[in-house]
Amino acid sequence: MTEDTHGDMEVDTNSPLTEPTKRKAPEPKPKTLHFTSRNPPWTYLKLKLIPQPGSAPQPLDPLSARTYLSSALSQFLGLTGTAIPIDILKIENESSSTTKRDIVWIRVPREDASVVVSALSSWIGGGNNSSSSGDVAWRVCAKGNFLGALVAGSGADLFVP
Amino acid sequence: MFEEVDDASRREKCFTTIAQLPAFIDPKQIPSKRSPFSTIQNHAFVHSVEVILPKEVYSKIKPSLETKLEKPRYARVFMAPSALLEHDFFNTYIKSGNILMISEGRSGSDNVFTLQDGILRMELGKEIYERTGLTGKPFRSGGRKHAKERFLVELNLRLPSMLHGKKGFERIVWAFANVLTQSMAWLFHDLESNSGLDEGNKPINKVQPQLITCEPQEIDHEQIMTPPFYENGKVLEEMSEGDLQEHSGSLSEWLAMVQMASPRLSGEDDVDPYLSRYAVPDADESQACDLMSLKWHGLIPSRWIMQLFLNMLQSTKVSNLSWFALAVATLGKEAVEGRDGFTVMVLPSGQSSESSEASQVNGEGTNGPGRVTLCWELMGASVTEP
Repeated sequence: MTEDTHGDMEVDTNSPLTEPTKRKAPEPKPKTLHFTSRNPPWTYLKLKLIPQPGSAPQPLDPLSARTYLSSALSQFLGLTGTAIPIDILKIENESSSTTKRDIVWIRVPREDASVVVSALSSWIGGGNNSSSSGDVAWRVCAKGNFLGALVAGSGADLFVP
Repeated sequence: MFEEVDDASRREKCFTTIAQLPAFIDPKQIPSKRSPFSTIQNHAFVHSVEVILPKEVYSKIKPSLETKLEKPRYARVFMAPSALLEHDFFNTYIKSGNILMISEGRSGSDNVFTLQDGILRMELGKEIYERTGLTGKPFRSGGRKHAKERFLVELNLRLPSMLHGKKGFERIVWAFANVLTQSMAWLFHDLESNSGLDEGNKPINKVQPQLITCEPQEIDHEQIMTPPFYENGKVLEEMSEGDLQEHSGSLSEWLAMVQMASPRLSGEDDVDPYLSRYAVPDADESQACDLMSLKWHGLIPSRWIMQLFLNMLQSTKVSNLSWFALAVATLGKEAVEGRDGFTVMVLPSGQSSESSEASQVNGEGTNGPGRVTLCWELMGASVTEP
């Protein structure tokens, strides 16, 4: 609220200064700026964790998500893989009595995106290592360089009665 | 680190337009060639619309939004394409009326149908296309290059020659009766009468439609770190092109983060940098603010989105300092360089008062100040699951 009043005052005091005459001039053509971005810094991925049957139905937390991601990357690329910076933007846990859905939203540098996708989709985790994971896999649900294009999904659910 | 950018990634684009709104907008004469109005009109099939705004602003404008905006209504039907050409349906909805229809299916792999302004577009696989005997043109599918695998047939059903009994028309009837016989789910919206779906005698009721009214979903976002738009707007004009691109990119990312309700935006988020290093744009000047999202999900026509946008402009202009954003996602996007949707953000008017000569009367609230809008149009992302 305080911001509002402050702004109003600024408008009021400024307008008479810049606009001394009350002319109804033809509206100046507002200037418009266009640009096209093709190479934004990030690529965003919406990932789904696929648990293998019989694994512990525990909701995914950020730390284990990061562990699974690192494990996939190091399996595919070794030490270089673990050096790829990953930002976990959100984790969605949807669990009902029958199904469990763990969705992870991440962003990675755009140049690394294709190797991350390869690493994640070829990975089947767990099994031999001691982390309590059991067998899990990643599925890429959405991928894009602009997050706004991904958040609303594809809308295909509308066709299902 | 790895310069191995894939083909799909290279095709993704974001068209950004920064424009100033006219001081006064006549709802009967929308400046439809100007951004963002042109963008709103160019997206015919939409599955999600979301409005994001400060919560205190929403509580003020909620009553006027509820009374002035009719809820969008549509129907889900299950029918074969031949039902489009049934006499009643064809004459009522296509020849004299105006409807919007879209079928299920993924562009690039399934047969996909859309109907808009009397023009039926069918995207078909090669084998089916050849069997229909209709004329079309090759269509990019994202598969092998130079191999013509998918075709687009466009039929203007409003042409005078498109009548039962005419030769060209009978070919379509034949194709629908013999080749494209499969029933599929469609979404239907009658542009002539939003509420008229209920009337029992309408032709749509013969195909057992499931009538749906879009109810807005209200989502609270508490204590969201919000960048200082007031300052930003002023700064926009002085920025170099590179800075502007970066700034507008991070702003659109922030809006999308609000849409997905990311905990990274919360003022109380203390995530370890090992897990995320996301930072709100202009983090040091950001303030925690309660925001609100209003979300509609369904087949929503662009005309309704325009009404929503005009309504929002109208009802927020009294409080000069409020901003809002409108995010729209398209339905049935094409496989290659398909449009994903767009986001429009209307900045508070305070910053534009110096540059806008027409805003001298904005203290009265009678004349809309020439607010600055940012519009991001996105294309080419790949979304495989709903």
